[in-house]
Amino acid sequence: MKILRRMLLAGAMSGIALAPFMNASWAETYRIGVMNALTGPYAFGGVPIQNAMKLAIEKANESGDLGDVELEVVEGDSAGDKGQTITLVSRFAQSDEVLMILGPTTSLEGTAGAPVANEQKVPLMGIGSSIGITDAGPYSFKVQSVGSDIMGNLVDYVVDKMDVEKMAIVFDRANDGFVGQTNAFKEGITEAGIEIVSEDGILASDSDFIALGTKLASSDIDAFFVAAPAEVGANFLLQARQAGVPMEVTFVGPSTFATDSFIETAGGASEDSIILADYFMGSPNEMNQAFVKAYQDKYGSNPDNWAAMGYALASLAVQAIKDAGPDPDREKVKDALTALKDQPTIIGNHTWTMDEGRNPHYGAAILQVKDGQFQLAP
Amino acid sequence: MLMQQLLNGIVVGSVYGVFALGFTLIFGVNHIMNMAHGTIFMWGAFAGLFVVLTFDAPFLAAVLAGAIGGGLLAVVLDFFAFRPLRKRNAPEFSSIVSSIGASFILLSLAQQVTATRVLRFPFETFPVVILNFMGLRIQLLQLVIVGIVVVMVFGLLFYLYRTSYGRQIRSVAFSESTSKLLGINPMAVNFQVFFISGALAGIAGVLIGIVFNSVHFMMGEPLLLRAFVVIILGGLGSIPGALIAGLLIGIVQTLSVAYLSAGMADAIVFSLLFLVLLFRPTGLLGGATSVARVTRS
Repeated sequence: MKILRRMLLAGAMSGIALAPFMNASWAETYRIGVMNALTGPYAFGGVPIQNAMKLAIEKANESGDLGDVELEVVEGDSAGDKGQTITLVSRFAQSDEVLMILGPTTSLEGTAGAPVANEQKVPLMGIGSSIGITDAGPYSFKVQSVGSDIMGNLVDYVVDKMDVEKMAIVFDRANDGFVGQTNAFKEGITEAGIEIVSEDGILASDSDFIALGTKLASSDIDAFFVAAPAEVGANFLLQARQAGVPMEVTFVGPSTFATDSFIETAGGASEDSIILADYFMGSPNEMNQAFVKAYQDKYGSNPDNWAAMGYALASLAVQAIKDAGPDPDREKVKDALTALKDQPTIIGNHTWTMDEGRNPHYGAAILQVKDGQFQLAP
Repeated sequence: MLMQQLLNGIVVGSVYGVFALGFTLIFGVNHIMNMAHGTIFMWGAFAGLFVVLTFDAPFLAAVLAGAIGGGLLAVVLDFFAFRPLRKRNAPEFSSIVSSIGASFILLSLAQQVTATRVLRFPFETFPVVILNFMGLRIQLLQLVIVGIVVVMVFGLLFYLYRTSYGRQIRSVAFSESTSKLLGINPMAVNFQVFFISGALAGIAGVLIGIVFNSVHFMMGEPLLLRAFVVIILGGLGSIPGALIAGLLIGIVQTLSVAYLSAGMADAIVFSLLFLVLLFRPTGLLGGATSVARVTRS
């Protein structure tokens, strides 16, 4: 009896001693590098994207959908800078514990980081719209459509719903994504017979737009298209209105402006602006409503276009890790990402898919600023 | 549109002129190419923004805060970055390197403090009042800016050429050792020169921050590059040259945007720099006596 009691005691003790190791084998932790432009001119998008990515990973861990796999976030700030992006991608890639990289925020950073990710064979899924991200190799992916795809929705709206004959174009000439969006938009409206009166390239570091605003004010235009970081474009809009561009001449912009900071910076000058968005917060979609509530609860503010893009991207990455099976590695995750098709999502028309060239498609929403708020355009 | 764009060019150019005045003043007196002038401009704008956001201060108080902030920072810069070099009679190149180092430190500090965000003066700092005059659309802020610039330039010229302090500055610019023999304290003169230079940069920072609706840690760098063009075009060390060249650059840049393309403006401005260096290296109002022109009547 004494021997039996001792054996039971020893068994219990060894069970307690081994418990942490047993737990470790039950839930294996994998690291995910989450990097976005948390500072710099693209921080308006990078911060909500980073927040939403962390939220999606937290939700995935809580839900238990990944089985024994637990994800741990390792954060980085790409700062809207190519060099910083390359450094961060290399650092994540060289850490064996990092399963994949989520981010960076822009095409500018994405096209710099993607070749490094491919060279080091670590899956990277970024936000930017540039085809250069996926062209870099099989390990780099993106959540956003190429400019020609998503801009088609904006072209259709301008041609079909707005009474526009002449337009001016202003774009950030140093950003591949904005250049691509501008070219796609130009091509679309030119084919529809709309005349482009002027075309001016600016830089994200510019702040003097008075001369350009005066130029637009003296042009006989019905609308003007701007592709630039939200705060730069908002500053341009404000100065253009002050220079005399009337409110009847409509500001038209891509999804970079689908953020509250655009309205905050431009103030009343943003009224009636037509903005292409990957996302509409008011959508009744169940998945979207759950996301909006979770984001509001965690961050105390409404999610914008960029938060939604970050959440959609991280949710797709979680799905790929789940599809990669119980013992995921970089190669399996890359294959699972490549195979993603017709996934439910909170953005666009709520179905995200990729074509053979790994270019995403998901539709879009057209928003209008009314009384200082975004709403679906009529 | 031509007249409207000329007006825009004069407003922007007058601010370039004020920025370049401080730059050329230090060069004329101390023979220092102060590469940290752009960061003093930026910190001046931050000082103005700080008093507006913290104390709900009016426009003129912001300008004053920019002047004091920029002036004091320039004096501190002189104390740590230039004075030790002057004491050792270090070559002028050392001062350039020292100012570049100081500039990086001040930039990094601003980057940390602002977390790289683009900040703005509140809309109500200066009300948007548009005046229509002979078909021109003139913002009240533009008129006020030109007025402030005119007052500053005439104030500076009066100070340099009509006061005993100005005589002392000109004397030190001519020869520091000779001025010592005349009983002038070069340290006090340098204090004045750096304070005035920094105050001019700080005021320009606040004005640019308000009129362009943007205050951020890199705002001084493009202006510093344009200031090079201004002082070379105007003649190194020439105060009237800096002002005239500032206006000229402002107008050329504005007309380039208006009639060519925004992307061409910088290329045209910097082509001017090449042309001046090739055909008239002493600038429009410069010459063998350009330094004396700043400092001696």
